[in-house]
Amino acid sequence: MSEPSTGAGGAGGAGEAGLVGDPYAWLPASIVSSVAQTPGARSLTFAVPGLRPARAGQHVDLRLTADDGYTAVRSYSLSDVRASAVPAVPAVLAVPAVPAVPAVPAVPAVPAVPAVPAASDGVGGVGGAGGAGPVPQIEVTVERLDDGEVSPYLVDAAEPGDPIEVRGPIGGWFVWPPTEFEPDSAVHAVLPEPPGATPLRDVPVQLIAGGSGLAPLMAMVRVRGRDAPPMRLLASVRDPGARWYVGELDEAVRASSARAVGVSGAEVSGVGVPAAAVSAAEVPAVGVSAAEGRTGGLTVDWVYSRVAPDGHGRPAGRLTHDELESLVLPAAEHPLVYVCGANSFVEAVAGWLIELGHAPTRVRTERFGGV
Amino acid sequence: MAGFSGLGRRRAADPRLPPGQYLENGFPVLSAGPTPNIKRWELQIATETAQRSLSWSDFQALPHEDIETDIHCVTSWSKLGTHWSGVSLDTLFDGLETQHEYAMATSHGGYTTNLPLTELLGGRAWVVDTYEGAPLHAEHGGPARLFVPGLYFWKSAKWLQGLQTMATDRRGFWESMGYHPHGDPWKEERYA
Repeated sequence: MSEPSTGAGGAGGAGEAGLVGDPYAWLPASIVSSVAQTPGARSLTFAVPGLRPARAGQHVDLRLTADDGYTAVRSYSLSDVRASAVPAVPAVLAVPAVPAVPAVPAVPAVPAVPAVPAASDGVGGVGGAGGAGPVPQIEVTVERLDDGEVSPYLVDAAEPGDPIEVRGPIGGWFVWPPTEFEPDSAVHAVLPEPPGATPLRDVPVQLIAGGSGLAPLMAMVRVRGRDAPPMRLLASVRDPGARWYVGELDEAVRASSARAVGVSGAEVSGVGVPAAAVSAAEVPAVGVSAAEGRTGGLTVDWVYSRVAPDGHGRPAGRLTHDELESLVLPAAEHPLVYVCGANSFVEAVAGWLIELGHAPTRVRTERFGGV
Repeated sequence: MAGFSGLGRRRAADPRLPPGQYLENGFPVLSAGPTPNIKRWELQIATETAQRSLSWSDFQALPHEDIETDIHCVTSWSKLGTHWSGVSLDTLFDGLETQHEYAMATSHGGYTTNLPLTELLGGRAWVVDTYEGAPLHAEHGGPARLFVPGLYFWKSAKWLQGLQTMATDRRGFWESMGYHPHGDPWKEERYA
């Protein structure tokens, strides 16, 4: 794919390393901040000069180099991509000193860079070393693997300012909003969408996370705008203390249900939201449920495999086929489903989804670990 | 005190590891979607002038070769000394003439991957149905997958259904989303 090349055309794009040349070159980056999610997991924000805008669901490769030159590379899903798209620095300074042409520059004053989403409201500012403008930032959330080589460093030892290298962002399949592929592309063979079908980006979204599989799904939750289709998240964790992003998710659900109460069904009916989903939203939101169905609506369900919190209606235990049916958007709504987690979790859940009538082409998976 | 050292946990360097790869002892699974439920297996092989179709029993009747080799995933893990059994693509293409230089592999479910024919013929590729002495598990592409260990492992299409030669190179599924059209791990042809 070569989408970012538009920004580098024309004026010779001087000085914008990373926007030209190999889009998968290693980029020097630094840790800006970090926040513990649980005792065993931490979110880290990196400033990555020259990074292309990332999409929710994509991953990056991280390369760490020890003092003696030893290196290790691992892939991590991005848990926040909102600050990866930054306004381009005007190319004015890069105009060379060739005064042959009169005052008006040949290049439009507004750089021909793809539209920057308005969502750059993310994390703390711009910072970064030595840059004239805002530096793209990305967040990963890493869980410590006790026999790991890289994750113990990232969770326990890494500090702001530490150097790291980033390659990416990578991936065009496990992303939301989804790519609308050309009808003659290789991908379309997998997605035989009929002519006139609702564009994929407008269909309801079901996210299903097992453990740390929540990271890329959180990136999807975070980029959804007020006009997004209904989004429902089911997250399975060992115990209440293993939940990530709890406060932020609670707040996002509250905000979306507050919006929903003020919106009438008629206003959203033209946006491709299934009627059944709209009516479901007539129920006022309670706690972390029931905001589903409104434009921009978000529902979050937690299930606990080992220890459930006091008062939780469901006893702790592994997710079952029957529970899945009650906790995900029904197949009749043809949601786009994203499942991420350990292979055994994804394999079980994806199999049940097919049994429940979800089309295999609407179920996208990302797995870690083996059989 | 900050800084990555990796001390105490470093993975051993190994000349069998291509650049940027690390040693994995498990066998990670990567798939774009659910594992397909294949009720009736059939393999279609086609060139510009001829085609052949093999049933499961046709395929089983062909001579199988044992393969011991390393595999390298684009997500940076490598697994050394794995054992497979399958039918060489030289056998599967035997007698089919072609002037084409590329092929598209198609899987159940519609996924595709493109390869140069030079990577598929000459004892470099197989359709395998056995891993470590047991029938290939569905999550790893069973009942049978393409096996091209000289390239990153996504080229070894799971749940293989067809191989179609083509005159010019076209990108398959993953290759349409930023993965390299060729995928040589020793040249680190990961993304393009």
